[in-house]
Amino acid sequence: MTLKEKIYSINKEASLYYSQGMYEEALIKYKTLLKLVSSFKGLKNKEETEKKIRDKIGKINEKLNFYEKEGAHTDVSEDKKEIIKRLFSDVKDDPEYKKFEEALTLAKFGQFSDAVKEMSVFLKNTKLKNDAARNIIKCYEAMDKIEEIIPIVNKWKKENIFSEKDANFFIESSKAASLVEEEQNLPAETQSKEPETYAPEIMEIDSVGIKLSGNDVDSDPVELDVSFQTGNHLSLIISSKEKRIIDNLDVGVKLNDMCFYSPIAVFKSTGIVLSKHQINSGPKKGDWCLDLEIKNPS
Amino acid sequence: MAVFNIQTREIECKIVFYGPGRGGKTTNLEYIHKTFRKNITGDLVSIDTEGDRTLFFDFLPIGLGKIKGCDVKVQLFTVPGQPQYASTRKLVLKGADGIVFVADSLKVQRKNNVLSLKDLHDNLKDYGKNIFRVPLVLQYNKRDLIDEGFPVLDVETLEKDLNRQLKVPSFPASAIKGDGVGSSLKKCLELTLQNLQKELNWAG
Repeated sequence: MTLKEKIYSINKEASLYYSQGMYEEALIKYKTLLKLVSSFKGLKNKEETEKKIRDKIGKINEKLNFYEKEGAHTDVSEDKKEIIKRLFSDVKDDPEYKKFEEALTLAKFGQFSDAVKEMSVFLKNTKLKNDAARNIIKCYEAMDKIEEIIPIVNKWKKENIFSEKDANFFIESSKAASLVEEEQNLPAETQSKEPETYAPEIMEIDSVGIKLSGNDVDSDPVELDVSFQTGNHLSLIISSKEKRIIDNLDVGVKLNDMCFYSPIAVFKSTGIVLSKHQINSGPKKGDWCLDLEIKNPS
Repeated sequence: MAVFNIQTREIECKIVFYGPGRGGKTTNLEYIHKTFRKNITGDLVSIDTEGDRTLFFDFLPIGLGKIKGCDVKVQLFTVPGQPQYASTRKLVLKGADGIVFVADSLKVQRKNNVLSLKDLHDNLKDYGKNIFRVPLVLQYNKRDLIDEGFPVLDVETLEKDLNRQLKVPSFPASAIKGDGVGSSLKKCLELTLQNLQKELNWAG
């Protein structure tokens, strides 16, 4: 194959990958193409051709950047949000819990602002206000708006939605806890110790292994699937049949020997039980929902 | 998970088109939407495609009419194929009754095909399902590119890479031309309905 034929063939392949949206593959081919064109002595319109290839490479890089940074956080239109809620919310029988589940579904699809709006309605609902508050905070964390958490929780306190003790607990168990520490001018090492060690923020956890207290040292840990994750906060559903597990995991219990299984790695860490409540309606009625926070992965 | 309404004798099931990014899952649905008009019961909805790749999912409802005394409705979904949309992909896969795995025949996609199939295996496992027991067909898409001289994997290699252990029905296809789209879907529906018939015993 002559150099000219090679250039023709690579250009054809690069164009195909570009037209099919396979930008990583197109980028490799266009870079190879640029090298070949640059080394081609006596090529007609060489500079113009090189410029065209560079422009194409620039365009591809822009697209790749977009997908990497923005793509997954795209806001969808109102009618499409309704479709998402209709297709992915399981609860059908209890209208109140259905609405709550729909708000959760929006959060799962990255529609955090709308999820916050819809979940805020449940702050006045005695049964669901704790779940609503926790999920609203998780949404703010997912949106990287940590600084807005404290004013919101304080507002809930002022409006008597939550007691001071509850409000403090919400803040302490959120990423905003580090901001409180900064405000209180704690020593530098105390302020910076937690956020840097939160490896799970970037890792999707599929399941966790928990050693229950009272277990034999050598016995296997209990393995539980993660139903929802935001950063280092995990929600687990535990079947009502698993009484031993439910009884062992009370709010505030520290779990010192935990295993976290993600698609790419398994790591050991400690955790704390943030909340535990029984599901009152829907297909999982009677089961338990447990919220955990991962601490200090090693 | 399929919904069987005993009173109205209606079954609604879910088929998911899975596979690597840019492999042609959306093109499959577009072809089905365009071609099988009499079975289409709603619009093809894409949520939300930014230019050219699926960021969330595509959805197309179809009706198969009466089968063994039951009105069978099917929801067709595609997942976003790119690795960074793993959580959305898992959400969309939830409750799938049957799967069409759309593999890309292009040589540059060989590794992505394998990774995507492994991802499917792992996600199904997380939902308590075994890939060997789920109604599944493989579709080897973009076969038309052979004629245009592009580097394409032969079917034997794709079978070796993806179907050596699974041994499920597989179909060469060109979603853009429509070749193999109908047969892949038909086989997947056949396997899915056989499976549901066993599970729900609706014809019994």
